[in-house]
Amino acid sequence: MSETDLPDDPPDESRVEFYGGRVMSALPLAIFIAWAIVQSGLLGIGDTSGLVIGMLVGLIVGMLFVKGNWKSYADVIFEGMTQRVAATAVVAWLWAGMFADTIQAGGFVDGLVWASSAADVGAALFPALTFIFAALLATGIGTGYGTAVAFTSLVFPAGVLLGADPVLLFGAILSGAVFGDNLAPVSDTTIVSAVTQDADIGGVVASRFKYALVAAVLALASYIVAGQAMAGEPLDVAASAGGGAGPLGLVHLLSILAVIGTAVAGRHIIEAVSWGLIVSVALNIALGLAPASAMLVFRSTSESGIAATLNGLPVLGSVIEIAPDASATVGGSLYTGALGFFPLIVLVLLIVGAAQVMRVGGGFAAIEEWLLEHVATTVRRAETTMVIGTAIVNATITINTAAEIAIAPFIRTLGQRFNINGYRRANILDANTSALGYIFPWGGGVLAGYAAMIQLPQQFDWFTEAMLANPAAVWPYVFHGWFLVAVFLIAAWTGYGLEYVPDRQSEEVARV
Amino acid sequence: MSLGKFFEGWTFRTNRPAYAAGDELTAYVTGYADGTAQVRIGDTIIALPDADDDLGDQLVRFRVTEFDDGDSTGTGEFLGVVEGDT
Repeated sequence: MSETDLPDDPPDESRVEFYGGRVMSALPLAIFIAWAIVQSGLLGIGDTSGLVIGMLVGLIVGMLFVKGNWKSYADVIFEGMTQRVAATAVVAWLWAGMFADTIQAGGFVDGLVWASSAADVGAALFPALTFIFAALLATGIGTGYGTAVAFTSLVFPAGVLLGADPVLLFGAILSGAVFGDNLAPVSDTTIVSAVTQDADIGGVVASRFKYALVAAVLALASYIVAGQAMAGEPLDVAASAGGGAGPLGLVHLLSILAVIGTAVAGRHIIEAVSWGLIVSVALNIALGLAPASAMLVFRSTSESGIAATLNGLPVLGSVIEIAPDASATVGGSLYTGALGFFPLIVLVLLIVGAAQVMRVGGGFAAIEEWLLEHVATTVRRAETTMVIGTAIVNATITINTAAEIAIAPFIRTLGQRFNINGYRRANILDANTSALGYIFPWGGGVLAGYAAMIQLPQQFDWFTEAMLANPAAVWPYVFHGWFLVAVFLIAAWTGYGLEYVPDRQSEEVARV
Repeated sequence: MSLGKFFEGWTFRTNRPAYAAGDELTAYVTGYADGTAQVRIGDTIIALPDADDDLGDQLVRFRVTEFDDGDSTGTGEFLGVVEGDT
């Protein structure tokens, strides 16, 4: 990500003016947040496409309050939607979705179930182990959303089979995603936090351990305790579901290693996940874990003509099916993996558009001025404001990277007014961004995981609707997220980890 | 990246850092009080009477000339703007 891709500080003069003043530029986002709270929080409808409509309505209503030419408002929406950060999220979802569905087609869950019964990991310890492995994966691939999707698709069913509490297990997955999103050098939130605070990414990551490890130890202990308290009985289907395929699906650990290895080596997330995808497709076919048609299939209803001819061909024929009774469609894990994210992709594009409206309309600047004058009057209060402000923005905006970009200029201005150095500012910004994006039911990480979860009943015969974890119930169980916020609140009050500009200056920004 | 970076800042830092006359520091000018540039580091405030009046939010170098530990205030001699910072 280059510096030119990042938004500038709030402009002094608003390019778009609103009836009711600068604060009204927050109206589209405010309508969306209210919509999200009512839809997902109060009514319990986790439909991402519904949130898309909420954001669309917000943008339309916001336009009615624009003074003068509405074209400038429309231009700002376009400006926001074409920011690189939106594209980063889109790419991460599409690639991670295809990858997760493909290793699942290869029986990775069966392998995990086999391994956990062979190692005698009971329902009590499963959430704690899930937290550790999700944290490792997320740190490796740098996408918490990808981890939430992969683990919900792959590990969650295995844990449910063993009798682990679904809600606690979902919380453990989200906690691991928080850990990796916060710490990974390739995470988009890490990159945004470093670049917006003028700090080098390596230095930011190195300075982050003192907070992340404290929170992770507390979270791990909590999962061990809660896992024992909430464990249920293994499901009867465990033997048949896990015993059928045996350990062979575990070869997909190699696919995951391919992703982590290339990502840690500093390769782009597209390249890293593509390698994992290639390895997983090769393993599925070579070892007979899944036929080619399980990964990609063209289902035609026509019994004659080109479809029939192609169906007879040696290689191409394996991905073409003639099904007169079904509907004509494309299918397979590549297709379903990517398709599951289409609503979220539309949503993130609209949200970054709305955030740009608020930035250009001066809503952010108005809040910043008020904070400096009335709230952030000492360094302890300024840091507390930075922690709580980042937390609130991220708790209310679904996509955490978008929220982070929105709040980053505040953190920079508030921090610089007290000569708090770039590493510290980047850490406050990213930790609270990562944590709050995975806690509430409208958080992007929760939605991404839940989107994967609701597909499980179609994928596993034994998986019933009753086994789904309600996204509105998971918030108390995202232990690492809560501990991370708590660590930063205590750090703000006590000065733990605080560094000033004269103590140590951050180095120049580099990609990794 | 040196390993030392992993061990920086594992401390509880005061909100009023103390300096001594002669210390050379680099920090942001954080505002102006009665036309005098102020560098606020935590809750410590160092005034730079000889600095220009258009240095808000710029990174500057200065030498501490006086420092009062009691009320965490001091004055400094302006040395220059750090190049490359806006």
